[in-house]
Amino acid sequence: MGAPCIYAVPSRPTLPDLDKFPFQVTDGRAKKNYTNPTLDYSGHWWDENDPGWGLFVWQDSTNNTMAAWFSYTADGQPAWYVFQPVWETPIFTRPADVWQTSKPPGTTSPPLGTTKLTTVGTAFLDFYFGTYTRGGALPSLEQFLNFHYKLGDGVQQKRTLMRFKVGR
Amino acid sequence: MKTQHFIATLVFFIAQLCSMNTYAQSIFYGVTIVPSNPTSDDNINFVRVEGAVACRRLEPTYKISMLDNHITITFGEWDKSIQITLPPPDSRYTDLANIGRLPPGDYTLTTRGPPCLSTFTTRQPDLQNFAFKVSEGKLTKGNLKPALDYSGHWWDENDPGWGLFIWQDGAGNMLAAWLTYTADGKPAWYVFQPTTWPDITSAFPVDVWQTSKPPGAISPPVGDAKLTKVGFAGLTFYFGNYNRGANSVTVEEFARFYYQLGNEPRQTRILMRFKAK
Repeated sequence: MGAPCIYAVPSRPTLPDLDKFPFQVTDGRAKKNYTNPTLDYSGHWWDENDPGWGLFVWQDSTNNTMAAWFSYTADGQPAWYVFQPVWETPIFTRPADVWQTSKPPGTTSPPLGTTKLTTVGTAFLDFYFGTYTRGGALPSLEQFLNFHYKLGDGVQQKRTLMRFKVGR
Repeated sequence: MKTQHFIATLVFFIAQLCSMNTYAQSIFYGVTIVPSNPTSDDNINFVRVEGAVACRRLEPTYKISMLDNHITITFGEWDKSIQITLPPPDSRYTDLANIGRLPPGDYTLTTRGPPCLSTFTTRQPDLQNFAFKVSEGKLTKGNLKPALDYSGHWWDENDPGWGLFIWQDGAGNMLAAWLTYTADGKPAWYVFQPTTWPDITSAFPVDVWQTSKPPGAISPPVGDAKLTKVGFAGLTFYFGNYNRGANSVTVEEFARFYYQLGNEPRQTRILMRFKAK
């Protein structure tokens, strides 16, 4: 039985707790005008009556907005699209081009290479608050989104989405 | 353990993706905060929705201040030169203000600001010392859930055109939608739901799913989604120094995204939060 192994572990400096660390929060609204949304609509929006597809909305502090739409073609095959709407008022956007993207073939998924954009339609967003009731539960106030879109030669459609929540 | 994990993941996923529920909704008119019983994980909003004719506010549309847990929202002046009339059922004006996340505690809220001068508007009053409580959202999580909110869009800025959209709730449930391409360059999207966190920054790998729907007349067609397992994926989040050039180094959030699809080799990609240039 040999001597116990003793390993030398390089010491690391202990990082102290912060004590009255000063920081300032500046006003993010000051430079925003009427056409900027007053709320953050980032998140996953879905139709709980037709699950399996949805809209991921990304919005930054300067209100740049991007939407990724996880959907299906009419023949049921998965397809995703993106669009970048500009705000008309604090609660609805102007129509924006909807793009589908592709990449040159490669050896891995996703392949490396420049993305090619193809315009496939238009879409705009219209947000509001609504009273939500399901089953015998008490009504609650929830955020809703009217998602208006037209793909190719198809008809203009409107789907009402709400914020995704687990256990709904 | 692995089997239990798989079943838990599958049950959770199917419950979210394939359950058919029905609900009713109607437009809200009134004044309140949302959610009505917030926790420290919730993004709190002030909502005032009025009927009929609307005006619009001049810049800044609102300001928020807080002193000793008393919050004041001051809305801007009205632009009296413009009135907006929306056709029914959209004939509403909405005063909205994002209060944000607050630490647990007792708060009061007062709102101020000139009302719209239109005689057609159903005025909802300002709030005066409206009391609300923010409860502790972290208590029920334990140390095996993500400590931070990783919601958002994550991308590789050196290889743009694909990315991960992460949704996460206050209880630490996570859903990741991966917008990407097959090896032949065609667009494809997958979803996975990290459920087991060995620590507060890393999620064990889980199954990656591709979905499809039965054919229909519109896009997307209505009908139950069909799930097909196509691989696995895991995530580890960390903070790193990011060099923006010109001696500008900032601390940013990164995600180590590792995955394997079908018979392709396992891959690791480093992603960071998407930011507009």
